[in-house]
Amino acid sequence: MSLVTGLSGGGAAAPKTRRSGGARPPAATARRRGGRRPPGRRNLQGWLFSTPFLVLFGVFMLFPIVATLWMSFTDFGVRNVRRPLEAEFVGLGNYAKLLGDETFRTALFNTAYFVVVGVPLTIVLGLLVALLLNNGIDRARTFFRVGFYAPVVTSIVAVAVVWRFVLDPSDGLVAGLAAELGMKAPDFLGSETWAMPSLILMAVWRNLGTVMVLFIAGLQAIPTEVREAARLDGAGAWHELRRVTVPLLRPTMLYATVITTIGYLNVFEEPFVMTQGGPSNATLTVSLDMYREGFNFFHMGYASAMAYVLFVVIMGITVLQLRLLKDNTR
Amino acid sequence: MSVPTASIRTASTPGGRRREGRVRRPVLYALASLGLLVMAAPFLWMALSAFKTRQDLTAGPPVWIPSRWTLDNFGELLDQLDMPRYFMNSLVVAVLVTACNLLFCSMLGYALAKLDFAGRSQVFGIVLAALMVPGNLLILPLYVLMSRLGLIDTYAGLVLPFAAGAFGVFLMRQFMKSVPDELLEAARIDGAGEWFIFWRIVLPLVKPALATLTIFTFLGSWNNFVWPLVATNDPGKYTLPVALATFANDPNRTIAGGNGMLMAGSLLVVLPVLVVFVILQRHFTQGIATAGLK
Amino acid sequence: MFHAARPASIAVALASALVLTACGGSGGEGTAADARQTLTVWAMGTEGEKLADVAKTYEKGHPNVTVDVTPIGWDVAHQKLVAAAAAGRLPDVMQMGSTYLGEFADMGALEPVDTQTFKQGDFFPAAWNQGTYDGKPYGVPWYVDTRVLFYRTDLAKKAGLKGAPATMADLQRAAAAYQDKAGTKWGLSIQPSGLDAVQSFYPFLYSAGGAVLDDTGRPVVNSPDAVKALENYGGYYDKGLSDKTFRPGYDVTKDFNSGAVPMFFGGPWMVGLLNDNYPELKGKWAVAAVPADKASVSMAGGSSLTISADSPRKAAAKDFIAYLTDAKGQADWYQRTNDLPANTKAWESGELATDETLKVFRTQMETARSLPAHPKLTEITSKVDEAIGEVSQGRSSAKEALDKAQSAIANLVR
Repeated sequence: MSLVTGLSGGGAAAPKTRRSGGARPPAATARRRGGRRPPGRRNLQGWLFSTPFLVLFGVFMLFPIVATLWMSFTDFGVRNVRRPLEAEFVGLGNYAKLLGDETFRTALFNTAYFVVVGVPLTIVLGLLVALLLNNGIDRARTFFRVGFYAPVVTSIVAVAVVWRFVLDPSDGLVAGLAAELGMKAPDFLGSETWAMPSLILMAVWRNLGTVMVLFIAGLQAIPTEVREAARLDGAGAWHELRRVTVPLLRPTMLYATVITTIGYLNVFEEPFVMTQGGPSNATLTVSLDMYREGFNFFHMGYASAMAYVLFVVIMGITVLQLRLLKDNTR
Repeated sequence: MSVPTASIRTASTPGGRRREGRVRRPVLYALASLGLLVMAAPFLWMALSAFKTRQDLTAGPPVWIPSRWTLDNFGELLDQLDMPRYFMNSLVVAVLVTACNLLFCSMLGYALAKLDFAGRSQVFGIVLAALMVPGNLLILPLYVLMSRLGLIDTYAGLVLPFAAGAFGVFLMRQFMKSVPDELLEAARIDGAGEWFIFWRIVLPLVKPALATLTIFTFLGSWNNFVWPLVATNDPGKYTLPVALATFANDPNRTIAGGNGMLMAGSLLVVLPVLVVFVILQRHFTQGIATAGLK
Repeated sequence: MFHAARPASIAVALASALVLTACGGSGGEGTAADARQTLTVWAMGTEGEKLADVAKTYEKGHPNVTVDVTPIGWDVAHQKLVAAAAAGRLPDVMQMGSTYLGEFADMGALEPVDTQTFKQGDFFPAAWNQGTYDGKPYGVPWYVDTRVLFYRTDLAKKAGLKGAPATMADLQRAAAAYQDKAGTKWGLSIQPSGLDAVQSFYPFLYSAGGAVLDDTGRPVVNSPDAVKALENYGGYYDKGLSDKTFRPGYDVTKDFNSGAVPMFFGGPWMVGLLNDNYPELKGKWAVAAVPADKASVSMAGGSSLTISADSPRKAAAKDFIAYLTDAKGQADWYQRTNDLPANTKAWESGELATDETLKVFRTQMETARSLPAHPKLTEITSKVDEAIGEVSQGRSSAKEALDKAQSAIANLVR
C-alpha cells in the first residue's frame, strides 16, 4: 500500500500556482495549519459549490418525488388523473398488499438474481477489457474502443433482432454451433431455466462499454511511474493488477459498481423487448412489474409503492457497497 | 518529472523489456479482435440494415450483407421527417445539458470530494437518493409541474430537469477524490481562492473524468426518450428519438425483422454520439502526471 | 441523511398549490364552428401523417379553420395522453384506440358524441360498441379492423387440402396436414402467452359462442363455450401444431413467406405488408373467413375519434370529425391509408365494393364482436392472457385457468 501514498507524494511535487494578483488579504491570523480556511468560510464555499445542483434538484425533482410518495399512500388510479386530490388515502395499504403479492415477490427474486450474477460479471469483464485496451493494445486503439463501446449506442431494436437471431432455438447462431458439435441447444428465451441467464448475458454485453470507459478513464489517474516502479520491483502482471492497479482504481470501481447495481436493479429494457417477463414470469423484474401496474393498468398508487420499496432496497445496497468498498469520506 | 508520461510509456513498454510481452502481444490482439466482433456485430447489423432493400430486411434467415445497396430508407426518412430540424433540436438540448452537467456536477463533485463543510454528508445523501429514484414514475407529476411553469414545448423544459444529474456529481466526486490533497493545500497556502483551485488546478487534472462525463451525458441526453416525448406537443420541438418513435410498432408499417427506415434513423441518431466518443476518448491517454505539469 | 427535506417541504406545498388550483379552468361552449381558430389534433403513426394531408384539403373548404395535426407513435400514445389529461392539455380532437377509450371516458376527459350528427346505424355495430362507455357513446368510429384467416394456397395443394378450412375442426386438421404432408414447421401461428395473447384467442372464443364480458358487462369468461374454445386453442400446443414460445415483436409474415407458418389470423394491414414485402408470394396465399364453430365470428378493432371535454372548439372539432367519418371522407381515407372504413356506406362503391379480399373482411366485420369500452379493459384482458399462457404451457386445464380469470375479472368490474 505504500504505493498509494507514493501517488500523493509524486503528484504534489509539481504545481506552479500563480498568486492571484495579491488581491487576497493575507488573513494569516485566521489561517490554520495547511492553509485551512476558517469554518464559516469553508461552509459558505461548500454550499456555494452545491447551490446549482440543489436548486435544480429542489425545483424539478423534489415535487415529483414527494408527489409519488404521496401517491404510494393512496389508491391513485385512472379517475384521479384529472382530480388528483380525490384519490383515497389508504395508509400503508399498498405496502401491505405488496407483501402478499406473489408476482411482486417473484419479480424481487428475479431482480436479485439479475443483480447478483450480472454486476460482478459486468465489473470484472469491464475491467479486463479496459486493461486489455489500455495496456495490451497500442495500435488501432480508437478503433477497438469504439467497437467495444458500440453496444451502448446501438438502438435496442437492432439489439433485439440480432440477439433473437443468436438465441433462436431452431436456426440461431448458438443452436447452429451446438448442432455442429452434436449437441442440442436449449430454447433459451422459451425456457424458464435459460431465459434469465440469457438476459443477464445480454445486459452484460450491453453495459460492458460503459464500465470499460469508466475504467479506462480511471486508469489514466494512475501515474505510469507507479506501475513502472512495481514492474522494476519485479512484480508480475497479476501481482501488479492486484496490488497496484485495483487499489488505485478503487474510487472508479466503487462508482462503476454502484451505478451498475442501480442500473441492474432497475433493469427493464432487456426483458421488455426479449421476453416481456415470460415464460411464466421467469424474467419478470421489479421495473417491468411496476411498468405493468403503473402504465398498463394505471394503478399509480400501487406502482409508486413498488417504486419506493425498490428505492429502499437500492438505498440499502448502495450504502452497504459504500461501506464495503470503504468510501472514506463518510 | 519533466518527462511527459507518454514518452515514459513508449520508452518502456513496446520495447519488449519483458520476454513474455512479445509472446503475448499477438494473443492479446486476437483476443481483442474476437471481443470486438462479438461486441460490434449488432451495430454492424444495424448499419448494414439501413442500406437494405425490403426483400433483404425480411429475408429469413437474416441476410447480413445487402444483396443490393440502397439509399431508399434514408430517402424515405428524410422525405417523411424534417430530420434537420429534429437533429438541431437534439443537438441544442444535448449540448446545453452536457455543458450544464460539466459545470454543475464538477462543482458539487469538487465540494463533496475536497471541501470539508458542514452538511456535506447530507448533500451527498441527497445526491445518492436522487441517483436511486426510479425515474419513470416521476414523469407524470413532473409533467404537471412543468406545464404549470409554462415550460412545455420549450428547450428549457427539455434541459432543466437534466441540467445537473446525480450520476455526474457522483462520478466527479469519485474522480476528484484521487486528486492529491497536498496539491490543493499548497495552492491554498499560496493564497489561491477556492474557485481558482477548482477551475485552474482540479479541473485540468480530471480531464479523463470530464471526457467520460461528456460522453455519458451527451449520450444520455441524445437518446433520452420518455421525457422529450411527454414534454413536447409541438412537432417542431421534437427531438430525434421522439420523431423516430412515430414509426415504431405502427401496425401499418412494422416489419419486426427490421424496419429499414427505423434502422436508417437509428444509424443517423447514433453517428453524432460516436463522433463525440471518438473525439473525447483521446483524452483518455492524458495521464494525471502530464496534466499536472502544465 | 434527509435533513434537507424539511425546508423543502415548503417549496412542495407551494408547488402543489400551484399545480392543483389551476385545474378545471377551461371548457365552456366556446367558439363557433366557422370562427377563426386552430384545431389541435393528435393521431397515431401513419394515420397522423396521412391526416395532415387530409387536414390541408379540409382547410381549403374552411378558410377560417387551421388544423394542426401531431402524429404520435403507437407505443407511446397512451403515456402522452395520460400526461396531457393530467395537466388539462389534451388536444381538441384525438384518435383513440379501443383499449383505452374507456379510461379517458371514465376520467371525464371526453365529450359524449352528438348522436344528432353521428348516427349509430351508419357504422359497423362492433365499431360503435367500442366507442361506447357506460351506455354513452364517446368516440365516433374512424376505421375498423378485424382478423381473418391468412393461408398458403400453394402449400395447401401439397398438403392435399381443398380450399380454406370451413370449421374449427377443419382448421386443426388443416394445420396437421400442412405439417405432415407439406412439411411446414408449424401448422398455425397463434400467440401462446404474453400481453394481448387474447387477440389471437378472440376468433376461437367468439366463434364458439363465448365472450369475456356479456352485453351487460358481467364477466362470462368461464362459460362452457369459452372453456371449449380454450381447450381447442390449447390443443394446438399439445399437438405441436403451434409454437409455445412467445417472442415479443414476432413477425409472422417472415415465417409465412418462408413456409414455416402456413396459416395465421391477421388484420387488413397484413395484406399491404405481404404485397409490399413479398411480391413474389403473390398468388400463393389467400384470406378466408374465420372457420366456424357455432358461427364464424371474429374480433373487431380499430380507432375512434374523440373530442376533449375541455375543448373550447367543440363545434369545429365536431365538423372536422363529421368530414372524416362521412361516406365520402371514409372512402377517401381508404384510398390514402388502406384503413377499412367504419362507415358502412363507404363500402358501397369502388374497390371497396368489388375487391375479393376486402369482401372477406367486410363480411367478417358485420358479425365481428368487440368488448365495450371499460376503464380497466387492459387489465381485464390481461387476465385472459394469463389463462391462455397457463394452458399453452400445459400448467393447467382450460377450465381451471378460466375459472381463475373469471374471479379475477369479477373483482375488477365489481
